[in-house]
Amino acid sequence: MKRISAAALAITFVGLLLAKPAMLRADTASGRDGGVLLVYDSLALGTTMEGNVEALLRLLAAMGVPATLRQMERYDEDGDDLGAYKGIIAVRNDPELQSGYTRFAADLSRFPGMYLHVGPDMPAFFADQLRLETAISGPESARLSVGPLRLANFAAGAERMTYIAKASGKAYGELLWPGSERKAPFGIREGGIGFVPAFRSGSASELAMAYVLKDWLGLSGEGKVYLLYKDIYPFSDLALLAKTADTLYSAGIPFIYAVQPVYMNLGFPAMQRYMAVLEYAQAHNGTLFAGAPVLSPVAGIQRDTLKEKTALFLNVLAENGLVPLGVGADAGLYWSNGASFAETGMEPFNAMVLYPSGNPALLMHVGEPACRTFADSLLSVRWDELGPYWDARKPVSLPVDLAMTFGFPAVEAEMEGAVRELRDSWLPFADYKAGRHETRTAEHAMASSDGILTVDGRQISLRGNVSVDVDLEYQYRDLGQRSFERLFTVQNYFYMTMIVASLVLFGVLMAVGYRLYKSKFLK
Amino acid sequence: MTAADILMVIAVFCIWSLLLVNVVLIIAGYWYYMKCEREPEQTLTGDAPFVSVMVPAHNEAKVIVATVESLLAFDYPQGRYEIIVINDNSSDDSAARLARLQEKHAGRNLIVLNTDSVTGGKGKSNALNIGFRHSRGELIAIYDADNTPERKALPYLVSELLRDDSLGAAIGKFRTRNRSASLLTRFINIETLSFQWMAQAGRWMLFKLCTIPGTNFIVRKNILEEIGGWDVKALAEDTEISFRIYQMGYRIKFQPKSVTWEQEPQTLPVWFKQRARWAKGNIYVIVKNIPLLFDRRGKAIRFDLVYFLSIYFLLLTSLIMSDTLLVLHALGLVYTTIAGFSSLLWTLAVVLFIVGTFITLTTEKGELSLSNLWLIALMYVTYCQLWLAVAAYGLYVYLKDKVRKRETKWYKTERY
Repeated sequence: MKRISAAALAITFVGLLLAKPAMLRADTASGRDGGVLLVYDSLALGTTMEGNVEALLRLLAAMGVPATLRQMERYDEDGDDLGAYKGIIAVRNDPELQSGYTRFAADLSRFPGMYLHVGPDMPAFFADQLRLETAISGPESARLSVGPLRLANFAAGAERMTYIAKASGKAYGELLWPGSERKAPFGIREGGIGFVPAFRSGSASELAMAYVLKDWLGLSGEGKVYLLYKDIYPFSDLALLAKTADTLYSAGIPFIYAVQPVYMNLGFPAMQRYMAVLEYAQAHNGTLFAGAPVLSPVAGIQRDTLKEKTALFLNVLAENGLVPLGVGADAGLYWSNGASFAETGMEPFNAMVLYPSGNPALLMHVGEPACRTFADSLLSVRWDELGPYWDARKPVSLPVDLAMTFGFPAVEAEMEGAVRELRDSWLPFADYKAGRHETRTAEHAMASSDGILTVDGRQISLRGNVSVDVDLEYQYRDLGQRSFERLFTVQNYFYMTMIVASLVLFGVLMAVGYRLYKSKFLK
Repeated sequence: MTAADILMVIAVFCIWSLLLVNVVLIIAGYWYYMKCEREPEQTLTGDAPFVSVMVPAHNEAKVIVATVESLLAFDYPQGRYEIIVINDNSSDDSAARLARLQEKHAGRNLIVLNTDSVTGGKGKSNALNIGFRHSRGELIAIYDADNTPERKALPYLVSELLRDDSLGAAIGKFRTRNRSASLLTRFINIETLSFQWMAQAGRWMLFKLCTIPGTNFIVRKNILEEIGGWDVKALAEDTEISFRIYQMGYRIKFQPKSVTWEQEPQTLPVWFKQRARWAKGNIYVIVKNIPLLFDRRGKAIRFDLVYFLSIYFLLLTSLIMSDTLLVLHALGLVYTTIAGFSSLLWTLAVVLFIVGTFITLTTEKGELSLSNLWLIALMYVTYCQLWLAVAAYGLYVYLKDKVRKRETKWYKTERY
């Protein structure tokens, strides 16, 4: 009996050793359940580091990692059980606050899990593990090369920044200061300890951080690049929407249209025309994402109706053969509305893309960011920050799915210029519907797999023409029952006929009368 | 379907039906005009009958001299007509002026009958009856005290009666002498022309019917004797006498070549009072003769009765009803589910009104002008809408006097 137990224990132990690093991507209810704690000292508002905390949150969301956000000052007040987290990311943006937060420092020193330090002045016991030596650069601009990027903008202005002079472990990316030709890694990692001395919001920096995070978190999988257009409304230029789909289709570039939802007047001709164009786009290598609603009592959308409204919109799309495979949301909106947003408005989806909010200060008012993770998420990046530096000649694996995000162009010339750039870049844009994705409401299940779109298990046919049988006599207002309609119609026609006939006769009389008048009075 | 819907349907049907009737009358009236133009000018042949020309006047000092001078200038044998001016209870210097006129035209048959509050002062009908008792003519012609008839006005009327024994009376045309005095008189000028050429000429052409307009008309004396003169209770004595002439089996013909010029009200209050009096008077006549609608004796006047009933009751109430319902509906106080009106139809109707009225102006020299066209358009939205108030007020006063059993009161139109 004892021999069997020992063998079972050994087998189990070996099995554990040989097991791949646990993937953190999971639909967990709380960041505490094996997620990551992100603590920061300052949001660095008004500095070049502004937005890096929000960018990290977006990165973690894109990687499907549940995260809890905490300011160090609050941590020192309230404390937390660090043992509940698999990893801690500390963002130090303010050098003047280095000596504070003693409680956090004390708890961190006892933390057995993974630690990633972002910013200068890594705690000594971690720095020792990496045999880290840092230095400060001169006041000059820096460029970043990582993955497929070559010399992308990192620090455009002349600023001093901490860099890794010497360290053990794996290096990620390369920073170059062209003026002094100094080079240093963007970040390093050894085991569960990682260090990124300077991280700022921006697509290149975020991509570099994604490489670090992927290995630090032990995630697997290869990222792809997708093209995404957002800010599409029912009142966008529908002809341009169709033309853009055409142009991209001709260039062989699959794309995603992130379309804003419609919650009212779904039967109006404008909605029908909107859906017709979306159907056209879907048939021309396009994929649809739904936009997250703006939660606002002023906008008429409130939390308690969000789920119903979202389902209503999605059901209408499904019933018209349109398959939205994900949801796009402003990051600020997402963080501000927390769990209610994620659980209600975005509940049907298993894929998400968060757009940079443009207002990092929002995080100051955020309690706990939404912790729901999505099975498939994308990191929204800007073409102008990545495209010009992307070397597509050699295939390179990406650490996270990227959504090259464009606002929908206002004019055709703008669209054609952008598509030309995309085409000339040779970037391998992927077709989102080639993957397995699902959007589900109580009534319908919309899915994709290997490029095939289905609604409730039935494959939808992709119609390539945009023809909308819009009823020109559509009644926008319910006129209610009208009495004597036929009588008045007949009566109106009768009187109009009589009046027109009378007018014709009067015309004849006028002509006769005028001649008579002339001969009688004007001779 | 609500009660408001049913009322609206009736109102709309009435309004549009009357509109079509008026269109028919315009066409018929113009047809008659063209017919008259083709006819050779009628001249008196044989002995000219003796005509008594009566002029009831009350405080008409401002205008009476010009009127009598015009009457004295008729192109009619001077010895074959007399002028009887009934100076009825005047408090101005009409009597003195008329006396001077008599002196000036001493050799003429100019008779002035001055009455006071005891012998007269009971309105136009009573004054005419007084004059009638002094008349010698076999034909009686009437002119209002503010009229200046053309020289041939009387001969045209006399020759009509002489040519057709079935005629009991003949009426001429009246024009607005002061038509340029104000915007109101310009409207009245258009109104009187279109009314005469539509209502008078049109009805004559279709039904051989006309209504005596109160001035510039001639009637056989024996008819007046038979009907006992004028009804002193009738404010619209002209309409009243027309009905009685028809009932006797005679007809009244419209002779447009006989023209008189009269002064019309220049201000709105004066106009309103005058027109309300006419409306009230016509309503009295209509109500008085309603029983004849269902009587064989009323055959001759049935169309006129129905026409006037339609105008004063049906059209008036339909317009008031439909306007009221629309206003109440707009205020949310009444709910109608009626199908919407065609705005095109209403536009066409307005155009029809303008064109139809303009056609009637082609009959008169100087009236075929662009300014008149604009005036007609303006009339539609102003002057014509006022008629609604006039008719409604006339009906109200009639009912009030009926209920309170008040005597008929004559209102004197102000002169200028």
